[in-house]
Amino acid sequence: MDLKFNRIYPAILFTILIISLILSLAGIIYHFIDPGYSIYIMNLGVLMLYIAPFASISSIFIKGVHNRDYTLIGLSIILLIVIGLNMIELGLPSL
Amino acid sequence: MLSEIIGVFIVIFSSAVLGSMIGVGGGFLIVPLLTLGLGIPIHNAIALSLLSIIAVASSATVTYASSGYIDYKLGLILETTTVLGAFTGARICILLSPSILMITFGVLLIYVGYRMIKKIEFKEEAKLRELPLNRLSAGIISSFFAGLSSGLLGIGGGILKVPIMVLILGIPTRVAIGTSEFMISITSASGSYVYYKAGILNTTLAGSAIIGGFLGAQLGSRLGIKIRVKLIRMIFGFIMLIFSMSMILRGLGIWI
Repeated sequence: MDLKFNRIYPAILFTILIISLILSLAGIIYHFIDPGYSIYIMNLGVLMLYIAPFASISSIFIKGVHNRDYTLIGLSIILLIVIGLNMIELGLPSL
Repeated sequence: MLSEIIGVFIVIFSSAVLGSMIGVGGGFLIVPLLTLGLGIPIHNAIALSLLSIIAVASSATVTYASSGYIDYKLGLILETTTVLGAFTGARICILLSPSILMITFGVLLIYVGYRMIKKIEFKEEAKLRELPLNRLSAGIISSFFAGLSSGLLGIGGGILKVPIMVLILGIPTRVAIGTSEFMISITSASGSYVYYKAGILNTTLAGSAIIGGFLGAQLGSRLGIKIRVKLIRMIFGFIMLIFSMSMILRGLGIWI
């Protein structure tokens, strides 16, 4: 599982980074066509980057479930709750 | 606006290249360059720096995760308090005046610059099978302050996290660096979110920060293998000492 995880997790993270990069680039290019609308695209790029930590923690949670490692499951749930509660308190993201 | 977009890209790209060559995020270089060089207000510079660090650290995490140099369990334990520190630090930063932030940043730069010039080698202990509770508690508490500095000053905090893991928790340096990068990607996202929701993050410039951070980290990690890192560390250290003086003087109202 660990070898598989060491391949899958970086692939997930890299995909998120690439999507965020493409959206940011599209946003910058679109800025010179329609500055108002480009803000939405750039916002999407930023939000995509904020998904990266959640993807990391969720991947570790799944790893924990697969390995029946209850410490890993517990820790990832606690961290998700801590981040989630703070985000709710600040206000959930919107475009 | 085009000149600002290009300026932010150049600053963040070059900082990420230099930072990745010596294994740091580059926040110590990004904030002073954006503030002193491009005239961006320090709060906005910190927000942009944190955003680019998410891209830099996530990019590094990809490399370290593939090599298996991340201790996920330890990372999650320490990250719980680090995230709380980052949220707190970012909230405090919004309340502080630019001059106080500049002086705080300048003082911290003196420490980082000194550490860059006079590289401190950590003495690794034999890896502990079971981590004593008192050491773990000390690590958890120190991590809160690493997160606090990250959220407050727009840095990754690796400069504090790695020593905590190596010196307090007895983790091998390479694993400590990998785990630190994994943690930074989460910490910086948490801190950055506070700035995003407060409306301090300039979305137009955010795009070039993400692109600059990601591309710079990719190039820097490849160049770092070929170039003499010791010399870069020395140059980096001296630049930081100059920046620290400029930041402190500007914070005190003496324009430089």
